[in-house]
Amino acid sequence: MAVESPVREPGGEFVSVAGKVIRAVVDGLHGIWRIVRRDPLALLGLAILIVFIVAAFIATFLPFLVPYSAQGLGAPNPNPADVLRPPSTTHLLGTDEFGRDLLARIWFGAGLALEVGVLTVGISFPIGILLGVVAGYMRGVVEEVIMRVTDMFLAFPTVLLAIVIAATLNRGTGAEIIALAVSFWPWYTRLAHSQVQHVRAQPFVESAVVLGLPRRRIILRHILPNSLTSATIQATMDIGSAILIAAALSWIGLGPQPGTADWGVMLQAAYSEGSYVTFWWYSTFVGLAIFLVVLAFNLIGDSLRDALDPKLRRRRMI
Amino acid sequence: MRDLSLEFETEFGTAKVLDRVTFTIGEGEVFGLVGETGCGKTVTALTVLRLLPSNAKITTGNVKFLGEELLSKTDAEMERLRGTKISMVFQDPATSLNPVFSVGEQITRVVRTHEDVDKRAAETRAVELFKRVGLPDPETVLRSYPHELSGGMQQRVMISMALACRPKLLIADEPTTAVDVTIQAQILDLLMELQREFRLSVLLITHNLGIVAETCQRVGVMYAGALGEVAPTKDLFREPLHPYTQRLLKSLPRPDARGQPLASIPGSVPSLIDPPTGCRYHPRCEFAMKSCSTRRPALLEHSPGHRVACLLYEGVTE
Amino acid sequence: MAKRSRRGGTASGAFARFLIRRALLAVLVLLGVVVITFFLARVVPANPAGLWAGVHATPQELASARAELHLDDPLPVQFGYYLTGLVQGDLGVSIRTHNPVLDDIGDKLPATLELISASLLLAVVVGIPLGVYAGVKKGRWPDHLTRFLAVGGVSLPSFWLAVVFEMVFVGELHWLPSSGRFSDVLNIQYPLKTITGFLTIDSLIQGNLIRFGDAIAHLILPALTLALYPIGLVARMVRTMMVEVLGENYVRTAKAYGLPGRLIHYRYALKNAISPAIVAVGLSFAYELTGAFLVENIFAWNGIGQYAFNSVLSFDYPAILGTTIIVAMFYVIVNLVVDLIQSFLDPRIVLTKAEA
Ligand SMILES: Nc1ncnc2c1ncn2[C@@H]1O[C@H](COP(=O)(O)OP(=O)(O)O)[C@@H](O)[C@H]1O
Ligand code: SF4
Ligand SMILES: [Mg+2]
Repeated sequence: MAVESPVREPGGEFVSVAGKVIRAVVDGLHGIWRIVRRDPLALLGLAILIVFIVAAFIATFLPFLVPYSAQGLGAPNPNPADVLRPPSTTHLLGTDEFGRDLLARIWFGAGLALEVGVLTVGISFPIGILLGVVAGYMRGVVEEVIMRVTDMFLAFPTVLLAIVIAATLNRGTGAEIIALAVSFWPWYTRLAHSQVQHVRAQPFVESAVVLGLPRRRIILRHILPNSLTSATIQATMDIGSAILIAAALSWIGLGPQPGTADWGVMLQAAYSEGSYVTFWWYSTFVGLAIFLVVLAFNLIGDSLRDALDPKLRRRRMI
Repeated sequence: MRDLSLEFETEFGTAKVLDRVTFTIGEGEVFGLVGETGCGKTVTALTVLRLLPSNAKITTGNVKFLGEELLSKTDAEMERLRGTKISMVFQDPATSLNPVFSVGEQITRVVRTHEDVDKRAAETRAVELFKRVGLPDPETVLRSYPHELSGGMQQRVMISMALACRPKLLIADEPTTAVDVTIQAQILDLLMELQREFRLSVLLITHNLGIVAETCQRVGVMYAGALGEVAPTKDLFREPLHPYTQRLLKSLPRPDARGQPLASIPGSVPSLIDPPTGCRYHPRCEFAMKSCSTRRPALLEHSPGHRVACLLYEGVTE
Repeated sequence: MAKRSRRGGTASGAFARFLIRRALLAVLVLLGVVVITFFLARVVPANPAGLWAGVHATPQELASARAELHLDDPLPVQFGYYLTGLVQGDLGVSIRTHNPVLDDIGDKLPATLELISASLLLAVVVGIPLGVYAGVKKGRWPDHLTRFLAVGGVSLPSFWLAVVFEMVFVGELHWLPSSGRFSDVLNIQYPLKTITGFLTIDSLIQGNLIRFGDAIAHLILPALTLALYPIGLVARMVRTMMVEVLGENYVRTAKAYGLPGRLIHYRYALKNAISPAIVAVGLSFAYELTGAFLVENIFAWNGIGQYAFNSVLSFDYPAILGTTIIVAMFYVIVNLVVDLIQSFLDPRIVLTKAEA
């Protein structure tokens, strides 16, 4: 990598740093594609994911394209004949306890689930990365403090931390996202920290230091983009975990209000209907939706880890 | 070994690694195989043991051992043959010994796989072998882990493991490259003593002509996966026929110099994915003629026991 | 993670230093956990004094409850009280059960540990062979199938699976007894003395096979539900490592000396590949503790998970704090044990440095 000339106007620097960051993220995504396309299971994951993303997109931006509305069919006073019907040609996946079309409910739920996953990672990722990069670059007291605090958060099992935080906040999707983001950031901090330690030993950073470039610029232009690529891969996989934990939070009752088209809430409603076997479609299809989305992320993640981990792990061992 | 050709499926294309390699090793004979790094020596050795990586494909040829075809044997038959009839000493003892078992465990395991003896008897045998290969304090070595031994000691352990079940043919793949310069000679002398004592046939792979001069009765010179010349050692040094061999000998300061790796020759080792047509040496050959790039020279007998693959000796002049 | 170095004469000294350093770090981390949880729990927008004194409490009762819980003191002072108690092994009194939190936890911990042990045992017994098999058959259909199963296991929502299991195998098919740790009738007919708190072990010690069978029957579903995640994790870890290890030179050496494939895969290679599986099992331990939150609840398994769950829902913050600290403590200890086992399995690893 070339070392740029030390003089540049500030506006230009911002643009070029932004460009580099975007490029690093795109590189990460492109790296994902290069690995995924050679692995049938990962391709399966990608296919599932695309279906859900398209569904979520339609539910969020073009809701009128979904055959039934999320509330639909005369709720809150449904026609008893429509309540908890098994799958049929009119309701492909059956109906729920308010006679609403289950397919439509799951469909709208997909939008909410992906939103929770993406926002969780979208909030925790930049915070975590920034802290890790700063710790890895500054060293000394700053590093000690950041990394020990990170350790403390890591000592909490993720789900427990999320539950405790969600319980202290007012229930809702927002609370879920905050709870998850607080539980997720330390993982990125640790990842970025170890990445930075690796990167800063590389010749191009040393040469930048020797050339007397200011610290901030070295961090922004050299260290940050180089640490981002593998962290992007990790973050992509984490969207699945976020969706899974969010569903659990909702299921416990720490998520949005009953009646929301949220998969965890829907599973709780199905659970309280009692007989799983009688109303099999309710739990099965909602559970299947969660399973498939999480599976998609994990299939892709598994393939990536296989391709990348040996190198990462060796670096950690030494 | 006759007409052996072999390919590797790689990410970048099919590498035609071996091109009709043919040679024989007599009983009790030491046959040297020389060539630059990457020319296919190790692959040749692994073919004899049928230990090629899964992406390798043998396209032509056969390998006969004591009159039996090795390439058509079942896996179980090969397993019985390895260690007892054909054995191998690897180039890098540090990575070729299992790091998490004591060397005693590893060698007794070999003995007990092939012979119906109890642990004690196997250990006694191991101690004897360790004494024979000049390891000090064999009982202690027996309980050591590979990383606790020096490179020379590791290689001595390797040799005793290879000879533990009295093989007929020993393949030694650059047995001295990875050990300390000061003990290379000791290891080599040890191998030759053992060769006489056990009446071994040895395939000695090296990139060091000095070693060949001292130890081998006959020698094959390999270039880019093809044999250029096969001759009794004396003849080869007295009258090298192949231009590549001549080049090698010229670049050697003293023909009997020990510890001299092959000096560099102008030009670079060709890619085996897209090997030069005709004679594989023609891009670097100082005598190259027009037809060298189109016609492939055959390995023909020039004088008794002295074979060469070069169009100069096929009566081609243009 | 441990640093690799040659094992020298100072190994035991280095080991002692390692232990001390790790212990100090653990204390520091636990202190952090206490701080974080304490202040989180005190932000809870609820009324602990009201909970403590009951719904029909008089203002005086409420006031005395506030005094007893130190609620009128500033937060740092409250924290001081809590910490003082903690050092003396006092985790406070549960607002919901009115028992000392430590007693509650002590009562319920064995049940959870029994459940987790059973599921981790399943994870090892099923996950390792699955991973080895997939690694050996890399790139062929057995590999794809085992990988799919492993990844699928990790992706299933445990609370959903638990409900499905419970309703199908218990509710409909009646193959397994209904939830709880034992059948009430048997408990009256064949009482057991509590020795370890593990019903399976206690019944065996007392030679009570009926109760043993009963304990196992109750254990199957929750343990299986909890095991799916670590099974997948272990299988994936072992597979990845196997693929790597099988490409190593020493595996080729073992083959060159004619060692049979089964021996090479399950002894020579697996011992090299198993370290990350141990780490996976260790790390799943923490996951299991929290996974038990949901699963124990569904199977009415009277353990620490169910206790924590109810505490969270009723804002019983001494209990929340107590369980969190205990869980974090387990987590830290398990991590330490994992490192020790690793160094035992791989003689090249000498524990000298405690890295985050
Ligand atoms: N598993 C493999 N996949 C693809 N190419 C390989 C593989 N193993 C060896 N090769 C190629 O085969 C050629 C010969 O290798 P080798 O026999 O190890 O050379 P050497 O003569 O140094 O022992 C090299 O060019 C190497 O790149
Ligand atoms: S065949 Fe031609 S190119 Fe090859 S060695 Fe002989 S002269 Fe040189
Ligand atoms: Mg080689």
